[in-house]
Amino acid sequence: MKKWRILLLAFLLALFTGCVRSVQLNERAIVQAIGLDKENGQYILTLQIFDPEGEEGDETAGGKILRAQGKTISQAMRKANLQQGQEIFLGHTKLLILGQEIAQEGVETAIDYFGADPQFRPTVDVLLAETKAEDILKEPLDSTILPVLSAKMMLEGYRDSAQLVRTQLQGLAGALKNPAVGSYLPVAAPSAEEENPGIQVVGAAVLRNGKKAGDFLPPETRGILWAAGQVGKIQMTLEEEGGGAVTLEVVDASTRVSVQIRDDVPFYEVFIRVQSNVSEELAYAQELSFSQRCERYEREQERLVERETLHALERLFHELSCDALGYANILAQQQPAYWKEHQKSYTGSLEQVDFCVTVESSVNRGGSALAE
Amino acid sequence: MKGDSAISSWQLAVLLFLSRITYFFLAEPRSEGPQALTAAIWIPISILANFLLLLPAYLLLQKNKGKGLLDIAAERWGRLSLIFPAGFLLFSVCVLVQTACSFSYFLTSTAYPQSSPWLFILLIFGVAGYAASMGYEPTARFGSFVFVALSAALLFVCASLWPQAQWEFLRPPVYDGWQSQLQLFVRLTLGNVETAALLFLLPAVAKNKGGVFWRWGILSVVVLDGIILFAAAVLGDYAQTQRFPFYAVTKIAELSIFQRLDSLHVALWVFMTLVRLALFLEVGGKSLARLLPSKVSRYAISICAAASALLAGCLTRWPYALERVGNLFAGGGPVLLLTVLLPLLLLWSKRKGEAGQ
Repeated sequence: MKKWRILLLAFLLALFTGCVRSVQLNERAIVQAIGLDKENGQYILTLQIFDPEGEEGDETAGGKILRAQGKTISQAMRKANLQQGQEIFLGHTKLLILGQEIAQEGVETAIDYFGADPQFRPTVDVLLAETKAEDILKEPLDSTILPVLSAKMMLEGYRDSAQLVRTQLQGLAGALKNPAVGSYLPVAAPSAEEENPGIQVVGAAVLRNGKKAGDFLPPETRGILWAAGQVGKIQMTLEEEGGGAVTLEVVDASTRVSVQIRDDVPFYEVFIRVQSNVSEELAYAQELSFSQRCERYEREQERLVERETLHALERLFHELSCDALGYANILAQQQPAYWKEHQKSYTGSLEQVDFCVTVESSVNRGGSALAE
Repeated sequence: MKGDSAISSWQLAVLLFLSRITYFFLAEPRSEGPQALTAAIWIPISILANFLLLLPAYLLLQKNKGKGLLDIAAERWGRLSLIFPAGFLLFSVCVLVQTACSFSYFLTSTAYPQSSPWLFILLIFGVAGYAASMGYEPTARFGSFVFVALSAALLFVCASLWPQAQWEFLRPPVYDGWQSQLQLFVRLTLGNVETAALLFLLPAVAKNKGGVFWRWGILSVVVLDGIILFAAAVLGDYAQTQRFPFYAVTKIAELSIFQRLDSLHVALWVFMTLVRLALFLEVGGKSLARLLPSKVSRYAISICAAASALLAGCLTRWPYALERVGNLFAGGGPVLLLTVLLPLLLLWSKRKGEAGQ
């Protein structure tokens, strides 16, 4: 009797293999990247779909491009579904690229749509296209099996050189929920090189209430990263008037922000600690010993970081009137009485907000005894 | 019904802890409710309040070693004592229905959007009913495995998301008015339905009965506070866009090659829900057995599971009715009645009887 029960159970196990309808891999269109534009009141959806059967030598091998449009994003997605004939799967999407017109009108609808999709990952990187998202996705990146990974690696490269402010869907969705804070997005464009096509990061866009408020150029973006405490392992080059140069490799950096109320206005104190290694020296202050040069590098590094951070803060708070760094959360935490009273007028008074930046820099002197 | 064998105080503490934590995983956050830091401060205070509230019932059980509340009431009150099993039955069915509905809502809204809630409700009640009919011990052993898996999952999530935590998202309690904080305290203290399960299951503990409460309390405080604060720091304002913030946390947790493990976390929560349902099916089934004729009482757990499944399946279509059940528990009336008022009455009548003798 027991054997029969076990057999029956085993049979039942084979029948109940899942809670939902099974979809075979060849019935699925696995989306790698999504581009969303808006033209004449219509959403234009461009999907880069994983296509391992793409012809060899084909510029878009590994990724098939699907384009659909509709009055709403859902409608465009449904049309894409019908065109494709396979079930569209968004669970492996790595990039979401928004067109310029969407940024001008407001990104909230798009972020809400993708954020509500249970398949979509909150960690998807969001980019803004300099013109159209479609142009970036159509750019033949690489003839690899996963073009989106090449794009991601390219973006990582920009991140390592501190020219990219990384924004994920969850961060953007959170910022849209809080009216006191803004957000930023990296801006990408197709590279102009015909022989070596690809995408390039051309700056960062600052969003206020979900709409584009201004741009930062690539050299300026490092200031945002310092102020936001998002600097990773990057390289910085200090140049001397005489032509000498030194490259410092930042191995550790952290940012701490505190806030006080001075003259009924928030005063943010940004404290940045940077630790670097000397990576390469090119005829820089040769008359000094290595230890002395390190001291000089520390001072130079301090000045550079302070200048870049102050510039970013000036532009964000005073020029664009946007707290894209989320400092309002620190104000709410550290000065609750002030925040309760001024919460509603905070965004309108950002031009009066004041700040100071203090940098503590250290350059590792490993092996300096030999180099003296 | 098999297996009325004793379980250890740790095992019962773990079962209650898993049940409690399941409630927090499945409960829908209220965006207008108190902040994470306020909740984290009130959780340990509510545990202390629970301890004080349970003292009369605990004293009663200590005086009548080896007997449960239902036995003591039957001895003292005769037929009127049926109010105890009837109360526990009604209470358990409400908890079961609420848990099953929240669970099916979670699965059908986040993991499997196109599925029928009936599918999940029938499946989980089938398994939970079987687990409960096996008795305390197998459920407790199963709970130990789930506890280990949960600990590993929480450690993984913490390790992967620690660098992303932004502690400035934690707001001081001054933002929450005293009314809101009072409501939270009542919800945490009198909405703690596991206290009723604790009183019911305490006689099944072999030794160190008093240790159950403290072990359960300390586990709950440490883990719940940790999870609430960590989720708030990691998600920030994004939590407001999520119906199930803990699920959102698992969706973004990735470490090295371990990515997109939310399905594994969902599987773990299925097990945790199973523990909660089995726990309250034990309470409901054993209470129902007291009300049924002895010939039918052996099917009490099955009847309780079937009735709860049916009710839960129907209530998924009437969210307002479900909300009322939730509000009833949040108000604290049922817990207050079962864990404080009825035991106090029993203690008083027992003392009066002893004084009369």
